Amino acid sequence: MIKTALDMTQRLFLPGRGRPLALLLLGVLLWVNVLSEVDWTHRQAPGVLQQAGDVVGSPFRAARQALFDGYQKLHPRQPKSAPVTIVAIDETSLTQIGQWPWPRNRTAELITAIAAHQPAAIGLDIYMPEADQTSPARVADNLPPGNTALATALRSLPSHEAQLAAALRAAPTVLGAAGFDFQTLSSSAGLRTLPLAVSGGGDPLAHVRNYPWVLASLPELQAAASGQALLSVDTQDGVVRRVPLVMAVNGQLVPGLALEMLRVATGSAAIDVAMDARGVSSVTVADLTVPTQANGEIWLHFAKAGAGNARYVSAAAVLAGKADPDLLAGKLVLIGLTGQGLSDQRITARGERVPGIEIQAQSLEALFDGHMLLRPWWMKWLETLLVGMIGAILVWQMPRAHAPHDATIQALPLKALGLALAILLAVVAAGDAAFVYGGQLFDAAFAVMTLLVVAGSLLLSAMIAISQHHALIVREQQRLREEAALAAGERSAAWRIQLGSLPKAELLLAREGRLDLATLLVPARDVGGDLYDFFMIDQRRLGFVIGDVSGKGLPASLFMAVTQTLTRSIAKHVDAGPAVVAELANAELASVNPEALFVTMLLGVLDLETGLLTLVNAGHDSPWLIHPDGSMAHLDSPPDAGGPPICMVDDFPYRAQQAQLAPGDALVMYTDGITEAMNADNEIYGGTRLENALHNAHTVAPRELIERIRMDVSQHVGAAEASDDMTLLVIRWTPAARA
Amino acid sequence: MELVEQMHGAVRVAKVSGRIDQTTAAQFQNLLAPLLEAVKAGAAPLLLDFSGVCYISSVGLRVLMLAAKQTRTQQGQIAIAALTPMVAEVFQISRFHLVLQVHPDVATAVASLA
Repeated sequence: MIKTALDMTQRLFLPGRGRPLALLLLGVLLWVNVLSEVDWTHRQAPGVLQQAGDVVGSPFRAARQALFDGYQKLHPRQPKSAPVTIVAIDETSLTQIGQWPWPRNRTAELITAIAAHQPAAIGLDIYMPEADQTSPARVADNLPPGNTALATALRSLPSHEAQLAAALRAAPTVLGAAGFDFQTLSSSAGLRTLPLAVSGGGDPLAHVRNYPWVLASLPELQAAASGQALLSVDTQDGVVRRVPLVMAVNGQLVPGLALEMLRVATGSAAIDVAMDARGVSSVTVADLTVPTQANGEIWLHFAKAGAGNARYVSAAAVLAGKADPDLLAGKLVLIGLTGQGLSDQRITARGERVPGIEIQAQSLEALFDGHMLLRPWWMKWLETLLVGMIGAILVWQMPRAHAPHDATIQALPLKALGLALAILLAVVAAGDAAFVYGGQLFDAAFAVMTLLVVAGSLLLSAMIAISQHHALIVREQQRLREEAALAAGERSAAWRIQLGSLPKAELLLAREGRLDLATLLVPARDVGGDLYDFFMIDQRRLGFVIGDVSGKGLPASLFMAVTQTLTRSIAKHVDAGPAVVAELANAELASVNPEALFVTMLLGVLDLETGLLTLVNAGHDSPWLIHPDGSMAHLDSPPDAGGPPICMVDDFPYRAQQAQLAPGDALVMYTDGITEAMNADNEIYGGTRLENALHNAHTVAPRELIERIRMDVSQHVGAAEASDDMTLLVIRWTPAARA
Repeated sequence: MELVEQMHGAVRVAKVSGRIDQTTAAQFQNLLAPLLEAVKAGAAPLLLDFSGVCYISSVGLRVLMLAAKQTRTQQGQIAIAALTPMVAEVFQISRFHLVLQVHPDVATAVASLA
């Protein structure tokens, strides 16, 4: 079950060298990546598609976020200027002045104290939706009865709200408000702001974050401040990455704190929102134009959290007149809560925990420095195009690098893989450079993930193909080994059969005293093409044959077997001498010779009583006749006797030659495997060496003679492989002594 | 082994050189095949110039034997000339002059065939 599943998986990777699969993966991943960045809040889509997109796209989203956070950690924003000061209502302030919420007149005092230093603007990261219970009028309401005079005196005093309103009016101030998605007791449906100018056609309300409800300060405070802004910042899992510059409350465009502070500080009349086909393209206040994402947000480039510690001033210090004037004059001052349990803690993209006001401060600083991060609308398509192109090149090039015939690890497209890795590194480096030098957010993570998957798929395909090819080769080798073993087994069986068909002198002629006969047959391969044969034709005549089939190996040996059987059969049944036998053999063999082989042959009959030798030489080496006294004669064929090898010329009229042996004469017959035995230097043994060997062995028995010749040849050949079958047939006539 | 073909007047001469043994016999047969195809009645006779052949074994003889048979069937003419001593000895033992016309040199052979 598992095996078939594995098999099927493997099969996926094989077609087209893995290119179709890799292309499919590339396409799917590109599509999923595009899907993962779609802002579903502004698109109509069936819930299922949305959910699917969320699930499938989440690894890409996570990787993208991790990458962009990584850029922030690696390259924190270096503030060029310090336009912002934070007047913090910190622990010290709370201890000195009292717990929060302070009586509004205290807040008014603080604002007035700050305003005395002529700041550029004062923003309150506080909203005051409810009436101050410590206002004199409220206290009067709370008095136990019987204190009418006190109550009247109290009621005549200005309310805390009036005091605060006066303070707000006297300085360039911006009040904060919080957007809500649900209605609360204190929330309202509108915010008092200056309308924002919209240009470029298109409705910003279709794109920006729209809150149906807002929690704002009391109307009289709203009327007194120079401006109002939404303080809301969306987080992803508690992490702040993007800050909205413009939002909407119940269909009314409202600026964020940073923009409104800048407007009030520069004394501009309006904030301009420019639209394009995709949504908000930029917002402008005074001479600062900030390109934004389509929903009016900007990616905030965070500076190190602790870097701005110098710009924190305790509210207590300001109220006591002990604050450094340089920290307030001409600055954009933010008032906010940093005391324990009061401030809203946020985590920045750098992973640092900061109070919410720090984020407002950094937004302001980034805008003031003109230091913006942008992920332009076309960046996604550039990434898709780039990755698509690189992916396509990988798909095209990587499989080319591997040769399917090569079953080794060297066939792996390592060079192409190295190139792919180099490209990936370049992409990552380019993304980093884009961030540092251009403030552009380039998603290299998706590129790396996708290209790795594509390269991995191609590599896997290559490896599977190689391993399959390897398995094929192993199977093939196994098959060949089996076949060879089978053939070897058969060959040695064939050799045993062949050997078995050769007559054994010691068996057949053991009790024949009139001659001494010895033989040798050493095949070049497992089976031979040489033959010898001897048999008693009748009581007094010995028939013998020595032959050499053209060629070697199995075909020659089969022909040899047929020749031997046929010749013996004819010789035994046709009592007309070796010449006739040769003619008949020539005719009969030609009829069973589809391979057009031929046999050189010596056919002879020796009369053991008279010593008369009748011999037919059919294209064979002439035998030696060795006399007991050591003299030798080459029994060449006279011109009118002998003939070509059997089966070379049809119907050749073979003639025999005759010779008279003397007692003790030995006839030595051989095949050219002896005379043409070669050593490693390609030198043949040769007729001369044979002659010498025979000279030195003329007295010994045939068996011994053969042994000496064999050793002499063996010594000559050395380690070289035998090139032809070697055969020797030696017959010594040893008639009984005549009286 | 190598085979170079050229015309000597009306006779096509194939100059063969090298060894013709177990390893080269098949190559010899392949090189000879197109020349044998052309040896027909009325076509140019084929002469094998063996002055460059130093050795021939029984497999080589077989190729020559088949060549002779083929040309005989096609009623063409074939001959061999300029045998080196070793090859001449093999031819002599095998009585190969009964299979193929043997000439001592190319000139005599060309004169005889034309």
